[in-house]
Amino acid sequence: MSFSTGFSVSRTLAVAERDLRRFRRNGTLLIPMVLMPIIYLVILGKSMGGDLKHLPVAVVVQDRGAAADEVVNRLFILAQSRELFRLGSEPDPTTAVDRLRAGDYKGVVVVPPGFSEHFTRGEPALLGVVVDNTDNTSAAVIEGELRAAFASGMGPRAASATAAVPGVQVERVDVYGHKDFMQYLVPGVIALALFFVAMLAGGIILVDDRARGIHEGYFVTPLSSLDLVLGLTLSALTLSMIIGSGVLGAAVLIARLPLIGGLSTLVLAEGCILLLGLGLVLFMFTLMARVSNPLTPRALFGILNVVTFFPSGALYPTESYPAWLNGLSQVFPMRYAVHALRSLLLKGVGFGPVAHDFLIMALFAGTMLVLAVTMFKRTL
Amino acid sequence: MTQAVVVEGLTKRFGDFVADDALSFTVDQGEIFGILGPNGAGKSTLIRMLNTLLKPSAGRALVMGHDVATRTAQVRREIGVIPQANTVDGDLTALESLDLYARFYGMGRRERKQRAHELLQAVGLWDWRDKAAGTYSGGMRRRLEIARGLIHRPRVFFLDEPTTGLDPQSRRVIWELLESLRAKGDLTILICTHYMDEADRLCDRLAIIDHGKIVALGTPAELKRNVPGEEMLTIAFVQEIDDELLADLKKLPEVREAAREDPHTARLILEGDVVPLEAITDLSRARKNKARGITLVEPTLEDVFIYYTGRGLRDEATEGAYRYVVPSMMR
Repeated sequence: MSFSTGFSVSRTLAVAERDLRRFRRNGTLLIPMVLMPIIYLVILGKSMGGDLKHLPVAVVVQDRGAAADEVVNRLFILAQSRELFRLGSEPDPTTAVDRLRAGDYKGVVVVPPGFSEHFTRGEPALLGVVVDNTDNTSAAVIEGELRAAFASGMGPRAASATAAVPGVQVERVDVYGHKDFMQYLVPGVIALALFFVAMLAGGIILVDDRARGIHEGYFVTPLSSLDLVLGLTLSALTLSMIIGSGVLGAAVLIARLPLIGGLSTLVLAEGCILLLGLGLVLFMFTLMARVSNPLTPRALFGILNVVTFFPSGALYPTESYPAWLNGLSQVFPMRYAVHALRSLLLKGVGFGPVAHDFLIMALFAGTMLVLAVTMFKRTL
Repeated sequence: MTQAVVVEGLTKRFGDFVADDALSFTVDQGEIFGILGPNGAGKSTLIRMLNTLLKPSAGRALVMGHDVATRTAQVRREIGVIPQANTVDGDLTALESLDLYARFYGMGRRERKQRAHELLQAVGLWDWRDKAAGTYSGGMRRRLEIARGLIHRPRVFFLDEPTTGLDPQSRRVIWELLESLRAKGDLTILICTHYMDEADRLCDRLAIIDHGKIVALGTPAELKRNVPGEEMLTIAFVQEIDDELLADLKKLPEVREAAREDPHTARLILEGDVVPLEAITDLSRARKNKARGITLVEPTLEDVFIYYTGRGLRDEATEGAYRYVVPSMMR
């Protein structure tokens, strides 16, 4: 029988100690694991999702009335107060659209002839907005901001939009205070750091050791599969906790995330890191239980990263996924960890609302432990 | 004498490929038993079955009375193993490596320390005890593996090609180590090798395996004796050998063939096992060319090996099949 059921605390600790000693002696290996998520946080946080600024927008005024002046004034206010637009003036729509096609503008606002007259008479006054919709993010923001700016008080309509309701004002209230995109990313980068640890300790190094014959040396001793899997898990989990906590601390500082809930939030976040780290490490052990080619984990790295991380809700709300992607993301513990960490760190909700996430992560880790020990061959 | 290893009809198949085919032999306690064979003959598969690393397809094997297929935990406590591939952990020092393995066997801290000290002294690595094994030479790594394999005082020690790739000095050090272990008399050693000098020097008995079958079994002397072939003789003369002397040597009734090996040495193939010493002396006197020395050339173990396994290269196909069917981690 290839699966040996024996277990010894001393043997398990010996395996874990050896593994940790090796990590300590190859400390440079750990630097990318800490740096990568931090770089991810900073670059992604600063390049995506934050407030857009300085969008180049052309204004073409073909009407000389008071309402047209009011439109231009409002645009200048938007440009100056929030730095949302960088306004330019064009003599006619054709020139403006040509320059938009050439990439000089992201949008063109056309105040057509007769605009003021229609507005004064109380008739629908049509404001033309042409956008470069190859950049959907900028296009949506330009349209949205113009709609919001002219919905209150003026009541004009953008050419491509449905009618805004004149006189209705919408005021946004942030229930958790202002949160920027970088803070939104913090749970994701912690999960990403744990994925890197699992990939290195549970995948790459495990298979390298096997290829180097280290395990062959172990297999002729009384060491059981359980000793080996638990020992390697213990060392990888220790590493996960160190790296995960380090990234949590650094991310909280860099993203200026206030720790709502104080110590209890911190303890729960550490608990979440432990459960996710455990699940991911055992998941890797299961995948690599019989792999002997050192290139395999390296080849799988990118695929596993995409499959587990991107659908986890780390970057985009899971509610908007199609059903199949939603199903895929529900299989992996990343989704639950991201949800739990976001609830804890950004909302300070306490244990109750994340108990479900913790339970699913624990179940995943338990299932992976059984699979890893069962599949981990004790013979060649 | 009690038997340390009993092998009965032991067979290992990888799909359609039969690596070992119904092998049977026994090894006595305290004996050094050699397993010889060309590449891909099935030596390593045999050792791996005896080490519990591979499950036999048929037959059975007992190590210190424990079945290798069903009582693996007991077998693993009785054996020490030096695998063919280098399995030294380069990140650990020699002391850490020995301590790690000693812990696998549940040895106490004091015993571990004492035993590691004793073994590192014995293998000449005491001065290197705190250096990472990754900095060691090939010979040092092999010696560390030997120390590691002996850490728990095994009763049967398996060595799979322990000196392959080592320089002559390192090989000699390992031979001396193994000889000193034999001198203590309480350790049974099974050694897989294709170095004939190693087998000749170390082994009490040998099994030659080819195509997964045992083709010869016995002491090195017995195996050499059993090789049918010509007795050969070389005679070193003081002066150069002229054609007349060579012709006279050929004419001797006990001599089938005579040839110059070099200008001063003649090589004779005899008809039987009678050496015509007097006739040779008479001839050298008559031809006024003194014989400085006469040497009887006996078959070597290499002759035995070639006799049983042939001269053909067939390891490529066998190795290929082996590699293809063997499960992961095998190589």
